Amino acid sequence: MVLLLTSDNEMFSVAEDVIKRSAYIKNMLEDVGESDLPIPLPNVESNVLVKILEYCEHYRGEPLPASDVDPAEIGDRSLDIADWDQKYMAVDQEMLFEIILAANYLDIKSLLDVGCKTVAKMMKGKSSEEIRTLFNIANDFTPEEEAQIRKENAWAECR
Amino acid sequence: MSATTPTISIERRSHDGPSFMLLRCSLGDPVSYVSLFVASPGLGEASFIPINAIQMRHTALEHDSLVVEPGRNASGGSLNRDDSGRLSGLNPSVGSRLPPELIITVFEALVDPSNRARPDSCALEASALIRASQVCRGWRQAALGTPVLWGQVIQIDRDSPDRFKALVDRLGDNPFSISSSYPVLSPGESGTRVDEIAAHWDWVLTHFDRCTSFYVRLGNAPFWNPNMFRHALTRPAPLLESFTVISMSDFYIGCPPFAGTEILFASQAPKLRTLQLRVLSPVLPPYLLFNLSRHSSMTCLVVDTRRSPVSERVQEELSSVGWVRILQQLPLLTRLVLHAAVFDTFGGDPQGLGGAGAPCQLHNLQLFKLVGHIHSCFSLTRSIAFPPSCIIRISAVPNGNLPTIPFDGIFALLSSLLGSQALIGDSMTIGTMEGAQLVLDNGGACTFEFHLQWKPDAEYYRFEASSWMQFFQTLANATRSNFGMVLRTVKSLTVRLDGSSENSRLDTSLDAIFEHFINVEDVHLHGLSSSILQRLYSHRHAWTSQGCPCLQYFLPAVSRIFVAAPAFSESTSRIDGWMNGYQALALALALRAAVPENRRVQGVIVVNGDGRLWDVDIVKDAELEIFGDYGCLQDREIGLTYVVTKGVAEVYPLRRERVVWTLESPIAGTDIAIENNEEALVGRVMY
Repeated sequence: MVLLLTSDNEMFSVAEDVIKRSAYIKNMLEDVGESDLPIPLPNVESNVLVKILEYCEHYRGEPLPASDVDPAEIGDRSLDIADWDQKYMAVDQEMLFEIILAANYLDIKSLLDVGCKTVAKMMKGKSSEEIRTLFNIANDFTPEEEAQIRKENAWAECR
Repeated sequence: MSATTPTISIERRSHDGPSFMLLRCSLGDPVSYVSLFVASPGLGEASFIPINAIQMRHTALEHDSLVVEPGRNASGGSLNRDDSGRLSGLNPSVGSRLPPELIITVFEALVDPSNRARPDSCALEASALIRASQVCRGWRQAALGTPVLWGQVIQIDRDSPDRFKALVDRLGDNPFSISSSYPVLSPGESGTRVDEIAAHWDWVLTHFDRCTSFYVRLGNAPFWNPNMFRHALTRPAPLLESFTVISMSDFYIGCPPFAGTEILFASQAPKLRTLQLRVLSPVLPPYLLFNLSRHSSMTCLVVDTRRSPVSERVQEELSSVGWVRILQQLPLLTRLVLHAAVFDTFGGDPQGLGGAGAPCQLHNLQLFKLVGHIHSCFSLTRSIAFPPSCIIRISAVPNGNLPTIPFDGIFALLSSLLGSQALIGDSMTIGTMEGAQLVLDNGGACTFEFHLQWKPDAEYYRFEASSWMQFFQTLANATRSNFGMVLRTVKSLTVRLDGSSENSRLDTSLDAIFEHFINVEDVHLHGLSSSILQRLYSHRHAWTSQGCPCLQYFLPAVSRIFVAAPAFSESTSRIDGWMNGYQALALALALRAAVPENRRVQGVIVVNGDGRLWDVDIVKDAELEIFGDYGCLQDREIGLTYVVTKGVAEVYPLRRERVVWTLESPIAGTDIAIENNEEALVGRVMY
């Protein structure tokens, strides 16, 4: 078992073959060897780790993607997200972005991929303003930049 | 959604640090987002906190609470997370929290070519990327600072030449993929716009060595310079991964021929995985394919050389033997489609075709589609060892340039082929739609389709009752040999008989064929004319306890009968046609009555909603009311069997993929044509 300590000081005991989907943890275990000390995860809160572990548990036993494989050869680059992954990602935006950040930090490539695809899907077909509203992003362009964008829009949209 | 009136209370809090204003909002219904502009009193002057300075958590929304902390100045500095917990914690806006590298990852997913509904429609991704780059400064910097993103959405569009220029500017010197339908010119359209489009193609072809993916569907006019295109085709393509040209147009006929010595990509395209050439000579003459074996990392090969002039050398190099030589060097192939690309060099006894020597091993093959003359089809098919999960689709024309092989020989060959490949399926379709067809299917894991076309002249297929008779007679004869074993494994049988023929002349042959289907549980009757139903009905009436031939005799294990849209016999009036249609249905229902003895038939399912059942554009509503619909039969009990009606989509969810595969233009109301049909099928099976 591997001990993980989250940023909010919660301790998790996780089976090694589950958490090894995280390349970050896997490498750490290989570098440090067996230890009773918990691995601190200062960038991951406990509620997010629970969600991450749900993903790792679901894919437990499935082969890990080889790190040296060209993503183009994996063959799963489509925005078509597997049914289970879609349900897994049916969370509020806060959690969605937390999952992406945690997947990036823990180096779980497949989860990061699913998270980014989910966000991309949410953006498709939306205007800039709609995306801002969706993700609560401020329009911080200067007037000059706004003018440039207006000019851009003359050719931007497909007709 | 019901309207809600939020109630808001404000209180000031302090936790040994910066003070907070706590807004408690009772929102009533769940919301996905809240836009909130708050005047911030106590900061000297009334001002607005920008939305990005108001940070929310969805969990806070669930608890009916929003927490707002004014920044250090009224124009909105970032807010800090409250140490006291989630309720009072202030998170940055979710969209601003991803670091640039993750924003770029999202953008990559946004423009990934594999996400496109159609491979030639990257315009939507281009627009999506442009819009994403206009969201905020951070996102714009991420998008404009990643030129490779723009390389995914280059498109030559007759309506947006300005966009092409802008995308190329953003691309810089990075690799690009081009995905474009060749612009279709409106009548009279010419001049500057045409020159502009031609100049864009010049840019693409000049920079072809930077191209990673090239997908072009040619339209109605030549915009690119054929000499530049040839130059690109015959030079090394170090980055090229995918190359597709589709053209059914012949507008380049007459341009200067190739020298005959060029080699595709000079055999230097080390990353090439996908090669799809559906294009006429002289844009791409068949001899360019001679050195395909050099591209050993290829996984997808689609070649269509219809109507291309074929020299003797091409016939020799691209004969079935020649193709085996090529394919032996392409062991990674997952998809192989050869349309009129395997040439006949054998004109003798068809029994001697292929099968000589060790078969070519293609362990990864998932789709094999071959369209051509019967000689080459059998010869090449017998020379390949297919993995069990491979879909095999053969569409054969018996009378090509070589002497026609008698149908007798075809089925003998087919039987031999099935035996040599150990092909077996629990689902079979036989029929005369669009030629004659025979499909073996095994739960989607294994599909073998054999389609026999006949065309009396060079251009047109013609379906004649005499040809059908010959087909079924031959099939019947074949079943007397080991081919009958194949039929006896079938559990789901689909009979597709074109309603316009004199099918009653097929009686004897059908009887001989049907008697082998002893394990069929589901029988699907498609396109039945009233004449063949009449014949089946007559069997029912001829039934005696002594066992006169009837459906029960032929299909002793059947438990469900599906009747799809019986075709109406010709009549002098539309109303009479409908009447005949109902008669046909009634006769179809008699099929149930034909198997009453063992009471095993669970139901007759009338498959409706085909769209071709009624010509509603002509028929008046009142007339429709008179005759109603097959829905009137819903749950009607006939004897011990229930009749239910179901829609086509419900019974045949994959029908579109399976029906249109011989069409060359989009079927009405769909976007499916022959070019992408096998892609749809493969997509269904593989992913």
